[in-house]
Amino acid sequence: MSLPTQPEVSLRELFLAFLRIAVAGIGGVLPHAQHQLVVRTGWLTQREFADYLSAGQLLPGPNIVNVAIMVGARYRGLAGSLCAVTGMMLVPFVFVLLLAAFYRSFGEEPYVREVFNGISAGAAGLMFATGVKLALSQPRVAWVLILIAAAFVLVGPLRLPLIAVLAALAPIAIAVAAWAARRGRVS
Amino acid sequence: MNPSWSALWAFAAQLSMLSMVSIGGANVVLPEVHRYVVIGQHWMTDAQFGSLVALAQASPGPNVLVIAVLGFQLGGVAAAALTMLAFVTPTSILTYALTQSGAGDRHADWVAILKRALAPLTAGLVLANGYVLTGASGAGKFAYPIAALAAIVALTTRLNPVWVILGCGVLGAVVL
Repeated sequence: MSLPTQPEVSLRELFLAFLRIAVAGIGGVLPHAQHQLVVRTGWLTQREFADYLSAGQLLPGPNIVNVAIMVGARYRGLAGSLCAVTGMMLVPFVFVLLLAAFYRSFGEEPYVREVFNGISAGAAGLMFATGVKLALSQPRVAWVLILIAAAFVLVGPLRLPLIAVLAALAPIAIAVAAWAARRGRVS
Repeated sequence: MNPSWSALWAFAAQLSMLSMVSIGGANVVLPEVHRYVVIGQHWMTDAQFGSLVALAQASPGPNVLVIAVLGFQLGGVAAAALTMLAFVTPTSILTYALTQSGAGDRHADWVAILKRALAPLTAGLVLANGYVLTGASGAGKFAYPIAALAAIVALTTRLNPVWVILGCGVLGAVVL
């Protein structure tokens, strides 16, 4: 996917760009990734960024890690991917382990424990809110709503194994999406 | 209770498998990771699991670091590196290989259909994750009210999520 107008990007620049994205990314990495890759460096057009992001979301694995791999590979092949991913993971990895070490030392103290229990309920609520936002962004057609509800009920309240649920639902989802696309009822 | 290294390698193998179905990010596999480390192996309590997940969510960087945090709790820095690499490597290889092959460009209409098909499943799985984590939060009978409050604030205001999480921590100290 090489383009004639592609800028020269060094491994060091890839590492630093993703390091900046990671360090800025409190409460979500994606807005910073867009700023860094589209606005600040000009490595990607807005359209290319959107394409990379949607590919990163479609593929299994952490979305932003997939984006780092694709951007790194585009400019510097395998070494570029490794530099981009390392740049993005290094500082947050160290930071989050410091927090984890704090938790391991003090997490069972009175008050600290209650604060953490409140925090974890709140974080769970935020996760649910993210799910609501994702669900609301979907087209309002019956098969989409049924799939959302089925995935939620089977893995949430019923606690069936994720791999079994996906093995059952993903082929159904793909078949119905293909059928809807053929009938021109995609959205 | 700290697991042995052979148990950690078995956990890492399970993480590698789960990573391949983590459509929409690391969070969708957390109910399964909870089943393994809390229900199956009793390596940590519900409250510890919930706290570590929240801690990863509140700190900067990609969500996937939750896997490193859980690994750290089980066996320190080396275990954190092991679980993290186990989770990230298989999908990274897949992404790299697919990028190099240009398969996405050649099958654009199938890519569009896959997106249509998987997006509702991702939404449902993220909702399921929120549900399971609420039950596992260690906040007892206050778990659902606190989670509901956080969700409503997140959906109706533009407040930075970090403040919502910290607010819930203060609430926890008061009511729990």
